[in-house]
Amino acid sequence: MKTKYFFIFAVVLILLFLNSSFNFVNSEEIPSTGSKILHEYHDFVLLGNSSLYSGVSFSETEDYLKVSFLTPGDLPYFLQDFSNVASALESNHKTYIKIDKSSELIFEAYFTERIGTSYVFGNNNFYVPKDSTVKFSNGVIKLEVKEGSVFNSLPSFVDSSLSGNSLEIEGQEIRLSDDFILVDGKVTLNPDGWIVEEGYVDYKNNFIGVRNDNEKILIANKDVKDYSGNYLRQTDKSLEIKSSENGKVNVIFSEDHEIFNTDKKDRLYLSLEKGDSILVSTRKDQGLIPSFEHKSSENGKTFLKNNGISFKFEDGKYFVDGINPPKTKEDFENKYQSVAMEIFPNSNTQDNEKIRINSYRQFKIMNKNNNDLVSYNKYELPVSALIKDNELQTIEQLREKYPNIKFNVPAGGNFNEENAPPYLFYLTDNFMNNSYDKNFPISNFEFVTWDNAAATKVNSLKIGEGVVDHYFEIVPRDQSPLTIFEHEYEHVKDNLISIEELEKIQEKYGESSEKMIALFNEREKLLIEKNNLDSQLSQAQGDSMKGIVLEDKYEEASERLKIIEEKIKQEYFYSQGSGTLQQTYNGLVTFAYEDFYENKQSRKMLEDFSKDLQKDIHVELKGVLKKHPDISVENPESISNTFEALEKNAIDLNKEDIALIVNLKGMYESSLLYSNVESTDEEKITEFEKAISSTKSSLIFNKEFLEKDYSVKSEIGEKYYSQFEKIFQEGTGLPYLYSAYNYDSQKSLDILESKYYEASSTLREMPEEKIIQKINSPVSQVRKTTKNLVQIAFDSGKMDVEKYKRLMGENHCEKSDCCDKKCLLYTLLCEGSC
Amino acid sequence: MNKKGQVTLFVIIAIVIVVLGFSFFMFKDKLFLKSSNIHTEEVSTFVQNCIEKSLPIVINEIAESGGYFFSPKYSTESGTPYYYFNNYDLSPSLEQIESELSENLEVLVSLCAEGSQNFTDLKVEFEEANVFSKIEDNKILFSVEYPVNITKEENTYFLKDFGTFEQNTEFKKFYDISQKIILSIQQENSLCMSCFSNFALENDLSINIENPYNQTFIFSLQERNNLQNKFQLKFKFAIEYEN
Repeated sequence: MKTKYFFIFAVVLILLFLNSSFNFVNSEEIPSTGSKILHEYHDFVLLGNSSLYSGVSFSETEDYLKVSFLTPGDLPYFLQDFSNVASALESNHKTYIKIDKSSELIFEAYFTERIGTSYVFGNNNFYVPKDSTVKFSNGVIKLEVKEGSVFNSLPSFVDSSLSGNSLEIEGQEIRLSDDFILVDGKVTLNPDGWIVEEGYVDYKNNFIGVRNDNEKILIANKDVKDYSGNYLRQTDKSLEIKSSENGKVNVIFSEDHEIFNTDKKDRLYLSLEKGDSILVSTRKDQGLIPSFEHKSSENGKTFLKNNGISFKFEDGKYFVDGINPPKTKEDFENKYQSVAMEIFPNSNTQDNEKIRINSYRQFKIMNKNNNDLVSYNKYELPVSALIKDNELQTIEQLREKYPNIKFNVPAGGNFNEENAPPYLFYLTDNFMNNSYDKNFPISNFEFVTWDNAAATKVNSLKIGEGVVDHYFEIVPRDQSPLTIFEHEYEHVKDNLISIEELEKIQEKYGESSEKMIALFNEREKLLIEKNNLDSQLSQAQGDSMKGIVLEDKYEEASERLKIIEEKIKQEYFYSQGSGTLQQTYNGLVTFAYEDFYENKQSRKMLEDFSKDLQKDIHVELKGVLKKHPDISVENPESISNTFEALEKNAIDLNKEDIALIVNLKGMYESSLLYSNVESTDEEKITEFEKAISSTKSSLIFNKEFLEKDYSVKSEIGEKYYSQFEKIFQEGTGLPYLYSAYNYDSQKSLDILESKYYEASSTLREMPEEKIIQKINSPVSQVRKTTKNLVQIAFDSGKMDVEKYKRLMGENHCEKSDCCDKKCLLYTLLCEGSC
Repeated sequence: MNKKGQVTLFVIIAIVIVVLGFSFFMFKDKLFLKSSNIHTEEVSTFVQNCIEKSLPIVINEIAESGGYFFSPKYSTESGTPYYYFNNYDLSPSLEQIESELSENLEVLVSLCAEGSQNFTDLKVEFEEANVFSKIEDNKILFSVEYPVNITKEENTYFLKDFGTFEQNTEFKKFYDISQKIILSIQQENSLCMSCFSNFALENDLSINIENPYNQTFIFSLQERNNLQNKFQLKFKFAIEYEN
């Protein structure tokens, strides 16, 4: 018996030796799990074992051996590689492998993996994650992988120089490797990499979609320049994507893309068709944004959507579609930011041009000498190729850069601190770099959604995304984003000057008269009262009733304080014969109106304007009459009779018609005041000013609100507003109609009490070349007003000497620091005169 | 004197009268101008100065307003005229622009004259200016008629024709490029950036496009090599298209 066992043992050893020698010596043969099982099974049988062993059944035909895993149990030693296979009883489906007797390879299999194991089928070495099913037939190994599974290792070929069975992986959210996720779909193994057969994969943050056969794409792991299908290859330095002759590639580049350097707000999508290709190279080592080389083919087409700026490359040309900036809460919660890059288009343009896109939804096209050819939404802002100029993305970065200024996003808007648009921070940074003057410090920036901007609380700026990002349809006076900042900053400067003026008046003239002493005493008391209320207010947080009462008191004290301070400034004017800054601006606006009023040609322009306006008002009134044939007018050619008849029958009119008539009446009455104004009587100038304000308001109402609020279509505002503004600009020399906006309509053309706050700030909106043109205008009032505006800004320290010289002309001053031209119009705080 | 002699004398007197009368009508302008030069020279120089100073401003303003003195009905909120709107080419013809240039110069010269006059001993009354403009390659010509009545004590003098003024400008080139841009948009139904960059390169200018709101694009064409010029030409127009 012992001899028998020894003999069998020797046979097994010899067989094993032969088997291993066979594998070893024959280099054509691939190490095979199948041959091992096949040979060892025969030994196993020779040893007298049954064909049913511990839940495994063996069945053999002429061609193959089938091993079925029926029930759980200990497997024979030669099946240890399959020890983690779930039996048919466990997996609820047939569970087997089939080994071809001639090739000794497994050629068919069907099983579910229990814990996650690597298998070798022929030349295929692959890992099967837990609970995944392997279906192998007809030369295709299919892995149906459980959702969310993770591969410990990527499938590969044992001998990479040889091919093997086709290996397919199908499933959802399958992590094939650290940088390769099968999101939903099917991939197959190829000697050059992976082919995405259908669905979506995320490879190194390239989110690839395959919806049709012509979109199948190879994710290459080596140089595949000669590959005829679609492919994508990414290395540490570059990303190459090519579409095949009839193919198409769709890729979304998601955040943390190594080559594009994307973040969570970036939105970048690419589609290549019919032979077009791109090569994107990182230039981090040079501190530059990536380069994006586009190669077009004869029938190719490329579409690149970089945050809503859609580039299309076709027929050797490239096109762009409009940008869709974020507007709603949902927009801000999604991706909306552009990815900085330089595109080198392979187009039919004459020069080696490039398209430089920054992180803030702007781009420009440059020639080989870096001259701008075309720019898009640039607004005189830098569009830089440096990474550091495109890095500002968060409010935290702003805080870090400007530690003395507070930056915040109040709750309740469409965005919060987390998803606030980097464009706002970029604008703020540019404003700080170009226009900020440390002598006029800003304490706080507040970023909001609304379509306006304001200077608040003396030296805070509130900036609305709606007005600087130009997504609302009304952008006042064609301002650029930076001039909006500068306009509001000018108010901050005026506010700070106003405070300093009071201190100076107190210091120098505080005791100059009994009245001045009394006024300053009163001011002192009010300041104490206001401060007390302020501290009580902070203590009353949580007690809303008390808070409301205190807030009212605080507002009331602030109002009284303002009145006293105004009185102090008036007293200063009376006693010293010169004005504060605001009084100087009030004087400028008053004189501008006088010049306007006194120039015969200006009046003629206004008269012509009012005649045309009246004609159109009449036409619109006739339109209303037409709808009401029962209303009779004594003399329909008389505009006043028409108004009268319509007003008498107002009860028969609908609210839309009434709104229109009220609007037209206001405009008509104002227009009457422009005719035959000959006298320079002071009262008449005031009337003239009121007529202008009233015409302006009614034109704006007609243009902007009538249709919106009352669904009434009227073309008058549209037609006449810019005409009216032009006449006003030529007649007064003031930058815009808004320059003469009076915050106290009861005190028009009053040097002491008017509130023409916008005269100062609107100058900042004009480009320098425009100001220079106006300073050199042939029209005396334009020259005078513009020069005076510049002079006041210079006198008050708001404009530096370099800008003053640029605007006034190099020969304007005798001294290099222009001290000979300092303090000409404003003196209270003016320093630096010779 | 016999009758024949009397007739001869009358004939001679008649001829002299006719010749004098004819000469008067022929040379009256010259005679008057000569006599009025002393008084009109100051006014004439003043008006000419107004015209010359106004020319670059007028050209610049009209270019920046897309060829219009007052914005037309189809304009953006900020008054830039639409050259292409709802698939219609609304761009003004050169003749229209010439008329707008004329109107603007008439107004500006009048504003200048009315606002700046300060003549001692002279009463100067300006009537309505009348300007004819002609846009040519690299220049614009302005013929200016500006009736001016000058009164010095009992005498009245009259000025009217101030001649033709020429201003060098690339206005026409800019206008032509605007037409090419419109054509390109019509043909491509998209913003062909490579076409625009070609236009910019060929003509040594830069094109700035702003997209203030959906489907509206404002184009500004600007000379690239003349940045220091305070009257640097900027030609603006808007388009709206749906693709």
